[in-house]
Amino acid sequence: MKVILYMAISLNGMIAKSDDDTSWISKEEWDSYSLTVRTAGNLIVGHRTYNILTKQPEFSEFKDVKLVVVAQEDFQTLTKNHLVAHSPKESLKLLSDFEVVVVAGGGALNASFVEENLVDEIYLDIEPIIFGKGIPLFRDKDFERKLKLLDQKKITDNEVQLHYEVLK
Amino acid sequence: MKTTLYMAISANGIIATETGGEEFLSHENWEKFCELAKEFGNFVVGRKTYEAVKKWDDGYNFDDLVDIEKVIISEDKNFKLDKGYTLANSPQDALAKLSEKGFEKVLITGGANVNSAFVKANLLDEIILNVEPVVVGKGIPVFAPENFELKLKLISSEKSASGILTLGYNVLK
Repeated sequence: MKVILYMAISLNGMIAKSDDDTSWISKEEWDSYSLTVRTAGNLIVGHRTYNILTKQPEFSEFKDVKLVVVAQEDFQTLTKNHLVAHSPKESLKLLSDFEVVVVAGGGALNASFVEENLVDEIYLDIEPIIFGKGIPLFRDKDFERKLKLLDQKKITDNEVQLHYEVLK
Repeated sequence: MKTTLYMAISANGIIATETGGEEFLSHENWEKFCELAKEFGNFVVGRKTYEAVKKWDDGYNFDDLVDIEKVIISEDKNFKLDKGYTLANSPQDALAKLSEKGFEKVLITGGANVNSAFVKANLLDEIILNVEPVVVGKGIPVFAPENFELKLKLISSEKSASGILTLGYNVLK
């Protein structure tokens, strides 16, 4: 099983503004992300990201995607098809039939996955924006992981996608 | 006056560990800084960066950049600098001092507080970031948390043999 962390970030590494606003992320970036998720057939997110994602109209694209929410407390999903796991490792167990698993936020969940050495590759779509305050790509965990740049390409004239392997 | 910010960052936008360590950044970034400093003939950094670099090993020293105007920003007007450095008390003051010396281009290179101060004063024209192939969980972000937003235009992206990606942007005003 290969675990991919896939995120859109501002140039200074933020995944959302302080009020969870992600409207600065482009349609083209969403399409790239959506294709990755639909190709994998699954998605792991934290509970806060789940609440944001499921409110977006584009979420209907994920109707055939097996969705797992990592939540500590007694979290209620919108439908029975959306599973709940209580840790990163448990979420991966629920998706053990898949060859590729996609993890996509938020900051605390991303950090837990990397800290526990569960991520094999990272895709970062860099939006041409900087904002001073926001939710960082990784939150609350102390780690350092070397990467190998596998590929870089432009999604649009103004957006770069970085594709890294996490060295172990 | 045209200003360029140059910084080396982790892939998640961190410039140093919480204790100021920069071990996760490679030598290549220092070489790029020296190259730019020579091209511009000047650079501007904050007081904390000035003090941090003073403690670094041989080979990584601002003193070695002879014939380059070195401006240090500190709010403390009595801050004692070594010979060869110029004190400024704000981004505006730093640019004014370099302008007086005839410079038309200024290189700004950290730290987080100085970077944000230039943005908040709307004094940044260009941003060059060397993105190091590493992620760091906790540390000092490239911009100190302040309320601002910058829209950018991607000008260039170039990959080095070691996997550092150099991204160049113009700040849209």
